[in-house]
Amino acid sequence: MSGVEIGATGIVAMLGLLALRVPIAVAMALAGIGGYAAIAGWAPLLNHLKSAPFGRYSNYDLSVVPMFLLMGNLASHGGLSAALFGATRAFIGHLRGGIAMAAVGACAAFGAICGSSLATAATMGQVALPELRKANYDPGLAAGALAAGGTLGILIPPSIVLAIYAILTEQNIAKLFTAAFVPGLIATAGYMVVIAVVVRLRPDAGPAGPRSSGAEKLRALWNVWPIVVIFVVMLGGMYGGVFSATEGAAIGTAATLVLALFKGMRWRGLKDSLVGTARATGMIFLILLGADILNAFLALSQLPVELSTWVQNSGWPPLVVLAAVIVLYVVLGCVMDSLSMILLTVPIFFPMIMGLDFWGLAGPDKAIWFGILALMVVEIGLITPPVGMNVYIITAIARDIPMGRAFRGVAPFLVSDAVRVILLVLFPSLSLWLVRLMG
Amino acid sequence: MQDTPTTIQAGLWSRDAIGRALYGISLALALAGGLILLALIGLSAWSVAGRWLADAPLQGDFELVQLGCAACVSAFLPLCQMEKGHVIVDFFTLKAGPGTRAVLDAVGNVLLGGVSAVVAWRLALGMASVREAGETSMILDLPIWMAYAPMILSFAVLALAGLYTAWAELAYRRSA
Repeated sequence: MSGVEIGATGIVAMLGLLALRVPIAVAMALAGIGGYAAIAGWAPLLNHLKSAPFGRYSNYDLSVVPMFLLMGNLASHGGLSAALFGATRAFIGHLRGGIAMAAVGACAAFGAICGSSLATAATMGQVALPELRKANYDPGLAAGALAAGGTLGILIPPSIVLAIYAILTEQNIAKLFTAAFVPGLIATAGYMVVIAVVVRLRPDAGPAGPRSSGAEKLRALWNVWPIVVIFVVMLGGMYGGVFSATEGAAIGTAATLVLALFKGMRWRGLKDSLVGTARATGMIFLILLGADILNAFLALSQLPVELSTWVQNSGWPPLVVLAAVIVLYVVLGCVMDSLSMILLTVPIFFPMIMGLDFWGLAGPDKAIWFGILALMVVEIGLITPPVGMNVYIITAIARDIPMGRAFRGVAPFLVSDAVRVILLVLFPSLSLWLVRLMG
Repeated sequence: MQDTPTTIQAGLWSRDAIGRALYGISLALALAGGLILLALIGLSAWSVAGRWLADAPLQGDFELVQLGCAACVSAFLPLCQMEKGHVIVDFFTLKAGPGTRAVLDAVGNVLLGGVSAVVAWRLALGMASVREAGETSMILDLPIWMAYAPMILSFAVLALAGLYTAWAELAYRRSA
């Protein structure tokens, strides 16, 4: 068998293992081990394994992952989510559908200190869902807004998935975070527009709440200013090159810890945050290790290079190739989590996309643009059936909302996702202008 | 599938002494990793503050973060396994009976344990050769092999956790 054939066989075997409930990380590692040995022999493989896991885990840039996860956990356990929701609600809660919009806004703000969608959905769901129910919001709209809003956790920087993409493709993390900022705001605005349209069609789905007084607004703002400062200092410093991404994550996490302690967090909350971080970090790093072994094998097999050359020579229009990649992401997203998808597909698709011409974009710009697109598309999997994890989380918080109703409630938000993806494909400057401005 | 309340369940480990012991070890490892993480955060933040405010950057913070990161993230792995936190694709087996799923999960956990054992074994050999070569870090001159040790420990515990959870699936869930 040629290298490419072994590569393809390895991928098929891995998919088979995945279907049989083998942990994703283990399926990747086994395919990688088998394929590596088939191409290069056992001795080089065993030699590779002597140092590769250490090399992967001692990566300086990767240390942002546990740090950002801890920051999100501290923010959840420290009661920061309630303050954020209180602030957005004070300003737009009196509009029709305003409380749901406030929940989306609070998700976006929480996303600014949390890099994970599921954590955002879980945290904001616990805070906002009971309030939405109390205000007689339609359960489908409430669940949909929070499930979709949860994806803002990862669309708005910092973002774990984007950090991993940056490391995989050797791009600058700060630049990718900058690039994600405007698309993240577009996503937030899009979700709010969806809520406005839904309550316009069905006014009883989202009744207006009471108007807050000026004093209440001020008090609500006072509660959240430290969060704004943390976000601005952390990301501003990273973009401005004052400190590295890891140092920015460290400063942001340290500041969030201090803030959480001020808000009354004690050892119990800190311990819960550490254990929550351990759980999420362990999950991510085992997949990273598996993907690392798999990618060592794929690189040996030459499959990504061959595929890329083949696609370039096929004469297909680049946009058709891109559309095919996006459709594949959406389909894969129905059965896999976003991080595994990125780790599995980027080593194969990235060289392919980089080899094609899109609006004459230069290499680094193209890498950023595709990263933001991939991020947007893989996140859609979190709110589509059959395994929309964000929807699961929301229905686990509000057990009286049936899953089917929640998925129907999400549907209008998917329209906004689709429109956004098309916009980002057609107008790369949406992702790139802020990077250019800061650069 | 990151930090979610839905994936946290009182695990099968609570039903017997070996499970409780392994869980205790995993939790202790995870908390130790968490404290290392806090230390790395403090170190990096201090380094930036020193550079900014006092023009006195911390020496070697970069390599301390590297070495500490390896210890910290690997220490998190066993707890994740004991809590069934490692991600699987369950879409294709949604219709299978609980018995079938338990058997498949047991196989998956054995494979996880096997891969972890191989990684621990290879890292142990890797540590030996790094130690022989006398590799040290660039600035602080720390011996690199010392950073391998916590990783080997974590992967060894992860291997045991994989085997134990496989057994627990068969013993407690297959008939349930």
